[in-house]
Amino acid sequence: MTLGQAERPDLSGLRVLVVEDMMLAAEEIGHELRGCGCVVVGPAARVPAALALVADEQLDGALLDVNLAGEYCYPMARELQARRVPFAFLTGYSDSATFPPEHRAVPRLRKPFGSGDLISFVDRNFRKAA
Amino acid sequence: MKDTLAAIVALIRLTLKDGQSAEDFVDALGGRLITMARMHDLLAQRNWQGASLDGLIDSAVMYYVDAQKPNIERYGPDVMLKPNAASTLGMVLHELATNATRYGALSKLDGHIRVTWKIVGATGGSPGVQALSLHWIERDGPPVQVPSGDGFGASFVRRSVKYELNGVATLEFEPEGLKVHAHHSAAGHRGVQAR
Repeated sequence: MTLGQAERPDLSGLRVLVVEDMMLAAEEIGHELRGCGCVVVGPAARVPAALALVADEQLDGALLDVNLAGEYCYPMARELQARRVPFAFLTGYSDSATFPPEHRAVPRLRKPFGSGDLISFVDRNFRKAA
Repeated sequence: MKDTLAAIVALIRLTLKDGQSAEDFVDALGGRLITMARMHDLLAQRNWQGASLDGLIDSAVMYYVDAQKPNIERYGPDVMLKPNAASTLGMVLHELATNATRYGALSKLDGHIRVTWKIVGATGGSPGVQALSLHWIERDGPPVQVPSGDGFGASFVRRSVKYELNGVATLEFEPEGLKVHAHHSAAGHRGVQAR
């Protein structure tokens, strides 16, 4: 589903880290976010590169693909939590029991998602308090 | 599987930018999706643990093999690739083969391609860390002209090897044929295992 231009929320200046191991999927997410004015940080495909961005960049939110070429994103989740940066998981899993107990309450965006789902999800979870 | 569906949406958009007519678009997208499906089959056969590079080449370029003459030769040791590395290289090989059919060695009767690979020690890597070095060399096709722009294929090859494998792909448009070198270290993503 694609939102019409008029329905798109204005997310100007929102800095969102994208962590996703498939290039095409990462580029698609970046394309959609930029379309709403977001500043895309990354994308990063692996845990070490993503951790470096978490350490160096000012972030308003982070979208984390749970499985990064066989490695879980949880080290990043812990780091983001410590820095009080809101984050969410991008995942094909729907059962919360598949997530570690400390991350079961983290918002999840189910794959595959349409651009409308992505943008309203980011708007809901990361938009700066006015 | 769900990751793949997400990638397909992106693939459609990228292919659309690249395509001229509706037929070209369907051809290009169809070819890419078929290769993606073949990679899935190949990985499913081994319970998603990996795929052999030899099997990967079969799956990715089998469309283009001429049963009457050896137009695609290959030389290299047995290599098992992790699922992510297999998916990436499969799509890369598909793009190279498609390009060869349209503009390169496989567009001429006598043209042929040689694919060679070896396992090398990664520079600066710890002992036991390995890298895969793969060459794709086209010969006896039409005289090569350096493309003015960067089409989907060349750009996809460079970017996906860099992004998904943390490696380097170089494309050299030599007059006698396209020469591609892809190199990726196993460090950080455990992409290569010698068998």
